[in-house]
Amino acid sequence: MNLSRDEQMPLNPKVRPEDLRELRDEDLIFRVQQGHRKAFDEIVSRYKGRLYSFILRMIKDPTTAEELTQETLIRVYVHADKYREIARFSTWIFTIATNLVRNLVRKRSRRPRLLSLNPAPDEDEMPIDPPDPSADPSLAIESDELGDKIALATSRIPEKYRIPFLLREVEQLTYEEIQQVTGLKLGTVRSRINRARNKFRQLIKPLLKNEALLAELEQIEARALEDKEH
Amino acid sequence: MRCGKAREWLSLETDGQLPPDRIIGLEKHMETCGQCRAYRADLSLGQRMLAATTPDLPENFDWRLRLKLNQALQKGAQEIPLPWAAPRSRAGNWFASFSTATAVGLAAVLALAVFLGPTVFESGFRSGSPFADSSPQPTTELVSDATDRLPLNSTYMPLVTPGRGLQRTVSATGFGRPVPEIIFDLQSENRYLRNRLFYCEQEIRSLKARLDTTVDNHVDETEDR
Repeated sequence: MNLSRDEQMPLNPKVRPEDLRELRDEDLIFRVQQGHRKAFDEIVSRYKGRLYSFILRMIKDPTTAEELTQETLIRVYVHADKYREIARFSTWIFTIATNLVRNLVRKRSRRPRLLSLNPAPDEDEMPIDPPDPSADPSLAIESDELGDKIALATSRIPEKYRIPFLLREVEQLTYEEIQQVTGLKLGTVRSRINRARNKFRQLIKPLLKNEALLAELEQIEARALEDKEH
Repeated sequence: MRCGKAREWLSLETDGQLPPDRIIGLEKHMETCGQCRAYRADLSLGQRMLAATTPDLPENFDWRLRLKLNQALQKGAQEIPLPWAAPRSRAGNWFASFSTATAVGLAAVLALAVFLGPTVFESGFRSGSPFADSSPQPTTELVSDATDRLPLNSTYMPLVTPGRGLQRTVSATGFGRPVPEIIFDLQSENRYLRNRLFYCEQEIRSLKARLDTTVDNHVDETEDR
């Protein structure tokens, strides 16, 4: 049910939640601008899962991902009046989320590293078998679950490729929308998605031959299909 | 066609971005290249895996969101600076704010000088010094009875006391005093007005929040009926 602006005015306060479910995102945010809080609840129910999934795949930490998801939704409510229908609502909300993620990543990278006051050990004192500096213990955690393995593979895609990759593969945004969200040129969006796919494929290649994981994938898909039918 | 190019096109084809004439070329390559066919199958499987492993939201997400939203709204409505408190300024941009305030003050003084110049200078030159005239200058009173802000109901307590609105005397005297003092006064006035503006913005937010609640309650009541 796509309502034009004229049809929406004046807003009917008696609108039922089931009616809200039929509205476009852009109509909902317009209602939020008019102070209709239930329209915001509908936006939350539509986007909370998508935002959380996107942010968690970007930053790996569930607690921080939840906080950023909530922050994104709060900003949508507080700054609803700033939304103009020159872009789709999904583009706007993912721009907010992407900016929050980028800020966090930037902040983390700026955090000063702790330096030891002790002088560097002599060569003689160095252990005979030094640990592999490329081995990240957080990535070495073995898990049999498909979800963990995919999350691990996703987190290994370089950040600049990961954002357009996730926006495309998970959120199904168009190239033009990704361009708006990231501020990149269209050609750059294309090439980054392509590179991320290449990288992701390399990372998940061992999983693609794992019969147990493929069986798990089919089970998950069957369950999802059942849920959809119900 | 090289496999590198074919894979680039495969990525575009997956997203429906490849022009039809290139699709034909790509399909020709796919017929002859087993590795690229495997690549396409892997991409498709990877997409299925990503779609199947959507993380679940933490428990009580909605409740925590509501709590945070209310806190954010309350914070916005309650963060009211004391009218006599100096506006917050960060150490990093103190110079910018100082220079802006000074510039505004000087501009105001110059404007007043241009506006009142002839009379003041006339009287000043007559007495020998432009600043010798100590007679009181006219004052401008901006008085607002705040009748445009009517209470919504009997329990409504406006954050800004109506009587205090703009009931403040803005002194336009000054040529009897040293210039730095006038600048200081104008800066104080500027700070005061910025505080009032902040007050009013807070009140608008608070009223908006009240309006939200009232509309929600009204909807709930109507639905109950």
